[in-house]
Amino acid sequence: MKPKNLLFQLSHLESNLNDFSFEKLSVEDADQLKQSFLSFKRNLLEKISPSNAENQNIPSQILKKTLQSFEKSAIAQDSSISDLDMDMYDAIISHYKSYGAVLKSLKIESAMKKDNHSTLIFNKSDSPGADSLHTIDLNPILQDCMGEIDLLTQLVGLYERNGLEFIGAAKIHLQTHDFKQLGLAAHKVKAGLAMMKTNSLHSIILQIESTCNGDKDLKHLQFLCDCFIMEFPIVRKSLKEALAGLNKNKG
Amino acid sequence: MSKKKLLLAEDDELLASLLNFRLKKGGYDVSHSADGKQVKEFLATTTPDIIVSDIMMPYFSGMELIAYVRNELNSKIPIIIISSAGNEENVLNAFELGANDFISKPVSPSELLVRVARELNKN
Repeated sequence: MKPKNLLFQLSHLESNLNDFSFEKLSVEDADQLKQSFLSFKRNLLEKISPSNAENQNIPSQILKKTLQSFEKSAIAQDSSISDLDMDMYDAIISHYKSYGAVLKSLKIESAMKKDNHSTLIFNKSDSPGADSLHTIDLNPILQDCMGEIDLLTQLVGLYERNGLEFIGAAKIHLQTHDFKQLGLAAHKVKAGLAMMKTNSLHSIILQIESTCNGDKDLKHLQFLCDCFIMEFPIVRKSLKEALAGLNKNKG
Repeated sequence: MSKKKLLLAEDDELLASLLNFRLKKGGYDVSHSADGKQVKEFLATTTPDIIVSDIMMPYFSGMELIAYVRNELNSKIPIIIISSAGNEENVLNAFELGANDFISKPVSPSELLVRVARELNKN
């Protein structure tokens, strides 16, 4: 990969960033951006570590790990840095900073901090597979229920209903830009999400409530609600499996 | 010995169901109100021994409830506030208005039972 090709990648990325407006970033746009970033990172890695470029058949998981540790290794390995064209390096850093500023203004970085969020955002599968389910331990709640599995079943049912109600309410309040009601709807389900230890949904709801009480960024709220809508079926299925497991153990 | 009357004011049905169950198991005569209107209607006819109330409720907040009980009913019924984590300002306001104690969400039913017993023993 020649430097000019890397710069071409950067231009493409920049073009992508310039093409979407602040108000119109959709999940698909975010996906495209991620793909552009990944492509750029992969090519940059090849430039920094030529040995990687020679081996085109690297297993994807190893490549992924290598990419994840790229920033650390790039800093740690002086020899790699010394191989770089420093002018190009400066240009990359400059571009990176400008993208960072754009992404910061979009306020999507907090939702993407955790791996489970980025998985959730970019995994477009409608029906979650078994391997994408979360592990939910209902035993502490069963203890709170003093071992009453019927009560726990009732609580899981209420949890599902609350989640579905929130999704319905969120759609309406987003359409009407009623941030106060959206914040209240988020607040109402928040405790239940925490109580059932469903941290991924709880984390999203906290951000929704915080945004409703803060800058009321419609685009960001739509993004977060989309995250909730995509994550909810996975959590619901996980909860049902956890409940089924407890029932099986009881039987 | 008659059971102590406890008013549980909580709009989250999920949390309310669990607390209701545990408080009843703990020997209390629990009445549940899901919003401020129900709370006022209940207090118009019944004087509970203790109130456990969420801060954010429809129609009539936990803050308004404390002010109503202390100022309009002139009652010293112990009031325990359930607050969301990170809501420290509301908790301070609640104490200024006359709340006796608070417990943060997610609520541990066992902890709530201890706090309720402690407030009742004080009186």
